[in-house]
Amino acid sequence: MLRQWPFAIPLLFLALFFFYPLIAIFRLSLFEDGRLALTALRPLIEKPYYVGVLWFTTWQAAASTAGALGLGLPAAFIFARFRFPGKTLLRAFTTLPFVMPTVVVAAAFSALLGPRGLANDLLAGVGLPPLALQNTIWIILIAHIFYNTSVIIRIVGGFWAHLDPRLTAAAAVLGASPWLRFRRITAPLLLPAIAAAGALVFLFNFTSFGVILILGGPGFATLEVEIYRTAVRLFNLPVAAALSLLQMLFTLGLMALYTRLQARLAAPLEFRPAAHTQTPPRGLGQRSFLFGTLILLGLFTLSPLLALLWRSLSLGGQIGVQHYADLFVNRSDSVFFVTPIIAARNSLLIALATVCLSLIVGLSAAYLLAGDRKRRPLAALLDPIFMLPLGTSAVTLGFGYIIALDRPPLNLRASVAILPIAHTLIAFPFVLRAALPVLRGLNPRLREAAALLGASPVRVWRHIDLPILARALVVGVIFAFTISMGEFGASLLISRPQFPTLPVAIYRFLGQPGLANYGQALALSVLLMITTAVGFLGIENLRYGDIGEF
Amino acid sequence: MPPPFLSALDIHKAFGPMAVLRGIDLHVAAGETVCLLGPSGCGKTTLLRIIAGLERPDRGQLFCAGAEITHTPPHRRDFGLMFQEYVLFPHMTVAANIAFGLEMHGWDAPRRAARVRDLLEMTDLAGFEARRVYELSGGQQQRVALARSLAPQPRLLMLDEPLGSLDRVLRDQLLTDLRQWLQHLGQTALYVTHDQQEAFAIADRVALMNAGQVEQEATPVALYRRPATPFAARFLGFKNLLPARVAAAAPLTLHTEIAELQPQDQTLPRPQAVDVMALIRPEAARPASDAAPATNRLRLPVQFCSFRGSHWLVRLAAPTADLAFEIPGPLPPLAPGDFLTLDIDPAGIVVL
Repeated sequence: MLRQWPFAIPLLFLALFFFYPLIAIFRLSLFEDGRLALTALRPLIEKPYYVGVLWFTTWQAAASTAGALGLGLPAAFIFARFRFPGKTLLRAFTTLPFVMPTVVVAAAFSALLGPRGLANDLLAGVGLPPLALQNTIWIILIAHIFYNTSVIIRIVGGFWAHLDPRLTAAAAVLGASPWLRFRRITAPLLLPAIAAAGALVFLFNFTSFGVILILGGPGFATLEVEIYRTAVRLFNLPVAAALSLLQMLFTLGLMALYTRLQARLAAPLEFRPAAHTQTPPRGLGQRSFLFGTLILLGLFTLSPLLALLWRSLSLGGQIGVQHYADLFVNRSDSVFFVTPIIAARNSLLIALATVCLSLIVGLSAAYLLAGDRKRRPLAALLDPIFMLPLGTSAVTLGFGYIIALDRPPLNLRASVAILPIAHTLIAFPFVLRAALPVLRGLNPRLREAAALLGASPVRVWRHIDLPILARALVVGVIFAFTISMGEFGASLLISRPQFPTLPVAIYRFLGQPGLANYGQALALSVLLMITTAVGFLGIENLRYGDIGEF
Repeated sequence: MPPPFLSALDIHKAFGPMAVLRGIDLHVAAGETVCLLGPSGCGKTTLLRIIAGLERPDRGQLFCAGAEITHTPPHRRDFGLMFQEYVLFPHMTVAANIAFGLEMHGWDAPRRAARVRDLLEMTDLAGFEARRVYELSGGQQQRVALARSLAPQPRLLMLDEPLGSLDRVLRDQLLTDLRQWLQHLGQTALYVTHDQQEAFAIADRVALMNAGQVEQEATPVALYRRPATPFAARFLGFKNLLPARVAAAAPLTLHTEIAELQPQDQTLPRPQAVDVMALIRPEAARPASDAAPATNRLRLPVQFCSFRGSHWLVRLAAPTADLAFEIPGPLPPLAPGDFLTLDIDPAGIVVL
């Protein structure tokens, strides 16, 4: 039993830093003076305002999901069925938006479509009236579609690429026209993938925070934004707790739906290696469809990011690195007490701490789940529990930390450690997911052989497990690092003003008037964008197989 | 000969720089089962896919029942194709899989149900209607796939290595069934396989393919009796192939490195050929009797000799190639290195 103690790490970590804060939210929203009372829940039902928030949250999520499907499905088709030069690179580029931190996306769309955006510069140049998209529903929907199209492409396209093309060939020989082949064979077989991808995107849109807060302005609030405003601006903790409870119910429901749909993807379909299913585009029709979709997709994914880069260099008239140089200056009228670049240092330190913590928690969880046959039922039970933090909204989590971890026995409010802990909660499932398939695929005979050749357990791990795990661990490390660098929702609630992270600093700068603040927000966003892009491309190179776990 | 039901003329197909089919001519008569036999990579599956309409030929034409169908899309050809590994629709039941083609051909529900019932009966699958296809065993899936491709009564049924993924016992059983069903229905069929036993058992005629061309086209018996080329001989499993030179024309006498051979069949593969190949069938050798003539006699050292029940398998060392013979005893005790003298039956010598 003594050798089993590392398995306590992930369980203890979840209990202290996930369930304990959530229970605090339950207690705050459902109990009053130690007795069950539903007073905090009443305004949610009685005030039309909250019903409105819930309605807006739902319909904007539905509209954004429909948009992402509209753009993502044709793109999924071309990536699944055609072979063309530069495809791997293009596919990586289309995924860039999804990995971008929400503040970077907000800054990028503001740089493209905002009042001081590139699009308006160009329109003014040809004498057309400016776009007024900032603080409208349109910029929110566009940003959400930008964000999530790649999820559709990845999930549906990955599934589609491995769908045996002989299934439609069999239908053709049996007399089915192209339309009937799609309707009777391809569409029903794809439906679980489309539904799973749609459910996941809906969940992301439903819990959207940064995009709504920054691009939507004061006029729009999803549940997530409302929790933040109620807790931080109005300091109405019981109502915020009740909203968090509602948010948890919805996200858990959506998460359960997604998991069920995803399980159906593993239905007994025979997959074909993608190399067997893809052909070069043939004929004018296929070629123009391919290039049309690619151009639209490229324009959509790259233009905001390029606009961000361009505006960070060109804002204020002349082209130069002025806004970057400003990051090193501690201006008296700054929103911070420190030079802005300190935020980058903070984020870096927190990310490194997150990487270490995530490795410890994620690896011990992976060993727990990959363990021998006797632990199978336990693993089946624990696996979804380890994934719960991914389905929980960041703002809810941050709010839970505010109310639970600010007093003994766990008083971490003033501690620097609270940020890496919160980030680890979101990041360690990625280490777990990267390591688990490798560990499960590791032939136990290898360890036995090494032991019989005289290796101690430590040396067995060092010489057998570690080299085989190395790639997966690097992927997990990069995931943890980039997630921590970009985390916004929880950080905004729990970071202290004198210790801002990069995303928090960007948000504050964006909220300040003046060209200099805006320029610094763009410059910091570019730094974050580049860090994330480099990390992501590293992951893409190291990850093996393309039917990955999401 | 009646006009062929299906004709493929001068079919060419290349995938990138690789020529897969290089001028194929193939004819199938109505009601006939033709087998495309060849090693993997010889282009037989590609030819099948071209006939089905799933691939376009680079050059050449297809005719069916007098009409050109080279550019007809697959769903208008009214052919059936049974894929290797079956490719059943995983989201449909057994009955829905079988009924799919009927629905595409506009059969109404009562007729569909009756037809599905008949086919399930014929393929011994009654009671499996509502099963999911992935719940079935390999042999059952194979029969569902056959029923599905037979259901709309296709003008031509194509089968692509249909028994490839089954074990030996199941294969023999299904092969017999398949032959009976095809004959019973008078179904015109084109069958692709790399297994000569399967081809011989199922086909009226065999087209032996090699590197994108038809090497030889014959009935199974004729193909086995008289393979036309060294490739055909080797593919059919014959090993005793010797380079030979024509020494005399009448009677035809071949000079080889081990013996003078006089075959019973005097036809040469090409008129005036000088350098040919001689195939000696493994069962054509007998221990020499003193009275036998000097031709068709060989004397070689034994490599090994093993008892195989109905015969002895004797391997002899010739200068360039080893020869193997199946000799139905009795044989004197033989040790490696002993010399053995054998007479060859002239009927067992084929000139290639």
